Amino acid sequence: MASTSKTAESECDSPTVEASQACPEKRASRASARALLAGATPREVLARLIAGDPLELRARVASGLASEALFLDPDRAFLRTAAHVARFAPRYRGQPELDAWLDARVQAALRELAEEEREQSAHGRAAPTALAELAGKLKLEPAALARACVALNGCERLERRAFRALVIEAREIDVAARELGSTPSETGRAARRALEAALAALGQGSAE
Amino acid sequence: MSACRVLDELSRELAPELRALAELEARRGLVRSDLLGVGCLPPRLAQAQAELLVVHVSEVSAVLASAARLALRGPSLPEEEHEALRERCLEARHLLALDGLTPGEGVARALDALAVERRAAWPTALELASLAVALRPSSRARAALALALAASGDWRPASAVALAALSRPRSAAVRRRWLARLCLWLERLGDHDRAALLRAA
Repeated sequence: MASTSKTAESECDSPTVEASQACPEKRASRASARALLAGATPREVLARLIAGDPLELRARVASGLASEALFLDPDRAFLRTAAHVARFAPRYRGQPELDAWLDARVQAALRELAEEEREQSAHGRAAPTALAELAGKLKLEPAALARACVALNGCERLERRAFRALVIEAREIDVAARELGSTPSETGRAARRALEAALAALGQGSAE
Repeated sequence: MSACRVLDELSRELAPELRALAELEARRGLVRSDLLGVGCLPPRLAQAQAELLVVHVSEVSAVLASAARLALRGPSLPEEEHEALRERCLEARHLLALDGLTPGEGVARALDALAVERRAAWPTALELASLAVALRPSSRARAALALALAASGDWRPASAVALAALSRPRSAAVRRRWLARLCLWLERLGDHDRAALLRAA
């Protein structure tokens, strides 16, 4: 998961550095990050968070979407995560480390958004506009693409990750399997289950 | 007969209960908000505040669903869990107010009751779960509603909630959990054959 700014603080990112021994720049950055979260209403904290993205939530969201292989609108996921951080900021008392706490907020926001899209899709509500352009390129209806994304997001994590590695990123199956901690045959089967779920969802509209 | 066919049959037979559930889930607007309507917000901030509104509503729904699950455990609760829920409830009310959000009457009453120390003052598990689902039909809220219905012996509506949950794309683990519940409630309804068929699927 993406950590704090990569500029000029790479040596501060070592996972072996304990919080209490962290370099002064990182301590200062943590203090200012905590100041962003404190002493205001959730609405005010939210305004701070989306103005210039001081906590680098966008990068954390991108990393979370990639590691969970979730098919969600990244901009909406960023705004939802910022809203989560703002709403739950009063609970943050310095433990766990801010990075870990923010990553947990990203995970909660992504889970919530995936579930919400599943509900909207079940009620036949409109597809997110973010998909319109991609759908056009793939020569698909935006609603069909949205259904496929919902179906993929409903798959097991291994299935989603295998699908992403083999179908979207066209990785070698041996390499993908190693990265996923699985065997090539299980990786292939997992990707196939996800593909079948997506294809079934794509076909739903025409079958109705 | 295949499991899919059984689920289709049940969906037809439980159509009235499924309709009632859909009506409950569609009962939005339980939280009045000036969060979205203050002056002319820049579009980006307005989008972000719309997401914040959803997060507030989701958290209240989650608090109510957790309370419903706790209420199902009986009249006395472990002190620690009761206190944690009370704090969560007080926090939700406080932050809603700070952001200019007014819960609807039923939700406000439930939050007030959960914030007091006496467990006896709580609404029933079914009332709490229904409010949670009406605010946001999440998996957690649906599970609380289904279990509360089952605890009241309302196996048909409980089965309808399970069917609704099974109609959404789910991971295999979540499907298995809902199928197990559905089988149990079908058995309570005396429908042993279809329960056995689904169990074997």
